[in-house]
This record gives sequence, C-alpha cells and structure tokens, in this order.
Amino acid sequence: MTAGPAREDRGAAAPLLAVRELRVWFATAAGRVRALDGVDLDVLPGETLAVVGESGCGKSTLARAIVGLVRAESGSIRHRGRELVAAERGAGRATECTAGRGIQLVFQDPTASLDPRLPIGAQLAEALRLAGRDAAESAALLADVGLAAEHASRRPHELSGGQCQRACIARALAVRPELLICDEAVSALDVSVRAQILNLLASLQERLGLAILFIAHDLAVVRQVASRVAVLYLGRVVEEGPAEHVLSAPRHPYTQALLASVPRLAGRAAGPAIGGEVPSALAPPPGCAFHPRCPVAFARCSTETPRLLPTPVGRARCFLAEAARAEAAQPEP
Amino acid sequence: MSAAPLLAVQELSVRIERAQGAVRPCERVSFTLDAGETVGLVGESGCGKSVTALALLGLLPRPGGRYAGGSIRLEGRELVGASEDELSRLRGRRIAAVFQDPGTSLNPYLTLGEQLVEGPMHHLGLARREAAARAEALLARVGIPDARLRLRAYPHQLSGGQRQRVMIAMALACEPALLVADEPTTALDVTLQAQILELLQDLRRERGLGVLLVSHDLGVVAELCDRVLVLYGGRIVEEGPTADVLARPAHPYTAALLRALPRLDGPRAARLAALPGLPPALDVPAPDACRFAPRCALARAACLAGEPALAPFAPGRARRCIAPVQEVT
Repeated sequence: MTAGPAREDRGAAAPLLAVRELRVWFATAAGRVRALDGVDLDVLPGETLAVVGESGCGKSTLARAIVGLVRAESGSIRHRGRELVAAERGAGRATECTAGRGIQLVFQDPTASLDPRLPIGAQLAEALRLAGRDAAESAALLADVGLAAEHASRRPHELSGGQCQRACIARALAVRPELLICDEAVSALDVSVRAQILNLLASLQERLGLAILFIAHDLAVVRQVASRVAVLYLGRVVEEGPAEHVLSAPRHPYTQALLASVPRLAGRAAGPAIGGEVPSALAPPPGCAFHPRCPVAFARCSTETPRLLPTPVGRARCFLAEAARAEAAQPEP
Repeated sequence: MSAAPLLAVQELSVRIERAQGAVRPCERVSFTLDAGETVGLVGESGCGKSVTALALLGLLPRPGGRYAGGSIRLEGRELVGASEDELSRLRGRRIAAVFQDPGTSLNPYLTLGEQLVEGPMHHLGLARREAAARAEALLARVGIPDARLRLRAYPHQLSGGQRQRVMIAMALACEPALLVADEPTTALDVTLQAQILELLQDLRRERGLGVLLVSHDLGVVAELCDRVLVLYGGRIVEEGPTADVLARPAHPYTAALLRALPRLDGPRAARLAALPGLPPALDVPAPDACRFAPRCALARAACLAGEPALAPFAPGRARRCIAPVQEVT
C-alpha cells in the first residue's frame, strides 16, 4: 500500500456522518469541562466504527452530541451532508430530527432504558407509531432481534438483561435507522449473553446495511465487531484507523498502553503499562494531553500540541508517529 | 502439604428462604485456600459466586439467608454456627473484603483517616496516633500520593481508582490472613485495573496474603489466580490450576464460556460461538440431573439421570461431567 487512505482520499464513499472540530463544554461550579475538544470523525455507510478510551475521555458525550442530547459548543456534525449542529440549537429539536432521520441510540443498561410499566410489545408499537409505521409490525421487530412473540406481553422485569437489550435494539430498529449508536451496549452483559448480542448486531448489520458507532471500553469486544477504531483521550481523537491495524500495531503510545493493560488468558507477565489516571478535563495538561502519563514523552510534548495527521493506514496525534512517517517518506539512498 | 490450609470450605450450602420458595445459590461447595495463594471464583451473573464468597465472612443475603449445611474453617476455627460476636472479631482482623463499588463501600461523611484508623483501634487496640501512622503508611503502600494530606480528604475528593486503593488499604489495615475480593476491578478502566491487579500481586507476595478473587472476567483470573473454581447454578463444575483449566477446559460450560469470549489475539471469527439459552434459575428445586445439560452440546441421556459428582480426573483437577475429557477440550 503506497497512498495512505487518509481522510481526504477515503472520500470515495461519502460518509454517512461527518463530525468536524466538535466541541462540547460543560459549565460546572469548578469551571469549564472540555468534554469534547475538537473531535474529527467519519462514519461510513454500513461500517462499524468503534470509539474507545478510558472513562471520562468523552465517548458517551460524543454519542449524546450526535443525537442532540447535549448541545455542541462549536463544530459540525453532518448527516448525509445536512448539518445537525448549527441548524438545531435546542437539544430537544435535534433529538427529534436525528430520530426521524435514522440515528438511534442503544444504552448500556437495558432495563433502565425501557418503561418498567409497559409490556415490550406496547413500547415497540409506540416507537413504530412515532416513526409513522404500522404498530402491528412489532411482531416482525421482535423476530428481527431473536425474541419470541410471547415476549410482547412481558414487562421488562420479566425478561433477562439480554432479552431487555434485544428489546431496546428492536425499538431502535422501529425508525429503520441507518446509524445505530451503541453506547457500551454489551458492557453490562455476561459472556454468553454478550456473545449472543454481538452476533445479533453483526447479522442485523449484514441484513439491514446498518452503520454502527460502537462505543466501548473492552478492546477484545471491539476487535470482534469493528471495522475501524477511533481512540479518544481527553476529548480528542488521538488515533484512528482500520481495526486490525490499530489493535495489532498501534501508533499512539496511549493506544499501546491501553492494549498492554488488557489481561490476557495466556497471562500477562509485564506490570501495568502506564501509571496514573486520566487528568481532569477541567485543566487538561498543556501540549499533548497524554504527555504526563506517556512513557516515551520528550520536551516538545509538554509545550506543543501534536495534530491528528495521516499515518500509512490511519491517523495519529503524536510527534513520534509524525517523525516515523517523515522518515518513511525519505527517498532510499 | 502437611499444615492445615488457611481456609477449608467443606460441603457449604446457603439457602435464601423466600415466600415463593428457597433459593439455592451455593450448593455443597468445597475447596481449600493456602496462605499466599490466590483462588478465583468465576461464573456468570446469578451463578452464586458472590453469595458463596460473602458467606465466608458470615455475610448472608437478607432477608432469609442461612447456612444450610457444611463447614468453613479459617485458620482452624469453624465459622458456620459461630456467634455474631466471634464473627465480628474475625472480620477485618483475620478475613477482610473488598467489593466492586468503592463509591458505596466508603462512608461519605468521614475522612479517609477516620475510616482507616477504626479497624486497628478496634481490633488491635492501637492508640489513635499509632493507628494514624499505620494508616498513612498503608495509603502510601497502595499508591496514594501525599498520603498524610490524603488522610484528611473525604471519599468524594478521590477518583474511582484511588477509592479502590483506599478500600484495599482499609481491608489490609489489621493484616488479615485472607482477603475476599469481590469483582475488585470491574468498575475500573483497564489501565487502573492493571495497576490494582499488580498491587494485589505484590501484597500477596509481601505478606503471604491468601486471596479469594470473585470475577466474571477470565482474563483477570488468568492474570492473578493460581487456581480457579468455575461455578454454574450454585455448584462448582470444574476446578484446577488456572492456566491448565483455561488451556484445556474439561467441563463443557467452561469450554463454552471460553469459546464465547472475544479475543485480542489469535484469529478473529466472523461470529462468536454463543452459548444458547440462559443460566438456570436458582429459585426452583433442581432436578437430580446435570444443571448444564439443557444448554450442553454434548448432553446425553445419562446427563438427565442424575447429577454427576465433582470427580478428580487429573492431578489437581476435578470436574462435574460424564462426557469423555477429550470430547470437551
């Protein structure tokens, strides 16, 4: 591969969702939290883009900003070319707009995102009605997610966690979405149930051509589902690229540290890959936000902020990755 | 080994009496744990792992929880049937616990110092000043920077990872012989998890601490545990040295769990080998049959004719299954 498929060259398939310079700030008593501080991402039709990172890096805020549950300070989110941020300043209106236009969100805790008093069938019927579809189609939705017809009459507490998550996915499918955002949607599930739900998502994607924005902290799960991976750190993308490359040959020291921290079944001899914790987004470190924890940081990292630049297969925000690319670009002597 | 083990659990059963009938989360569980050893208790939600672990501390589910038989011997002392006074003297002193959620296990109204001196003053009769010195040393040991200053901090002023370190410090304050760690890193990010696992490893090496680790994460168990017990439906279905069990599972449930697990290494399958169905409910009387048979690909008529015994089949290993070992692995 010679020409790296940088963002510009990937343009052959127009992105379904294009996020540019997205900033989301929260005002708190202690000051301004920069939850997202200039995020650039594309989701292509039919692909699964995983967004990973530690707690507090902005993963869920990104999901919420895309569906309009939180207001963007600045930047742009374009869905099929139509701007969602500038046009829709009120949070409520943006949600309506994204739901109507085929972006749906599935949350981590399925029992908390269903109405405890309503049978599953009635909740699906309501979603179908709002989407302008026939409520009788709820039987087909149940079948789509591997639930039986008799589950329609059950209330959430009469179902297992896995069954509730299937119901949430069915409800999301009611608007015939193009993009499903799964915010830690399998994180609360046990191994055997999680495998069932991951397989369900894969088959729905094949059958319906869904694009999935898969927000997760579990890198093994991400490897199973994702075609591309974006790594967030303190509200910024620090690395992005094809899943097989990012997870096997990461360019950014943060991605490397995350991967080295995952316990392996074959045992992991080395100690913790990095110390410390994610710094507060109230006062992000100057320069590269990762430099205080980075094992290979040097002087420049604490004064200058690296840009998210193309690597041979993706993008990385690191001076070392820049240097490696510059070196590789040198002509052979 | 000639000396008595640190912990010997024999045929332990726990019942929870409910109006609708008895729940049986722990049925005739037997195992031992030596000083300096880490044993993992693994299984999915509702398999009884937490109930089993907490029963070792005399903590039974309320309302309705009771021991329904068996014995727990800690350093030779019987805990089943011991008085609440006796248990209170042992808890914190010889056996201590760390739970999943450090946020709810600490008292939000007390400083870390106040919470950390309580155990040593009560159990060891230390004066406040001595106890405070010990608390400071412990905080430093578990990796809390500025330990002396931090003694005056309240739990909400710490991050989740730091709170879990404080919980470990508190559990170790009276130098217990056995630490029961119930999903101690489940609420933490992988980077913090790696740090906490390393800390537990070091403490066990330094102090000869015995650790019973309850976890649903086989990776965590692989990293920390010498031996592993796999629970299904309130029963041990397989046990053995961790590396051996994970490389060559001998019970179809263990094998199925491993196949359903996404991996970071090795080839990636297009689909995971998902285990069909759900774990058994523990609130209905179990038929005298293998509890895993309804979900088992290797089930045969004999599996329904009686529950297999937990039988040894190789050095250090045992399983509750009648299918030939080669077919399972």
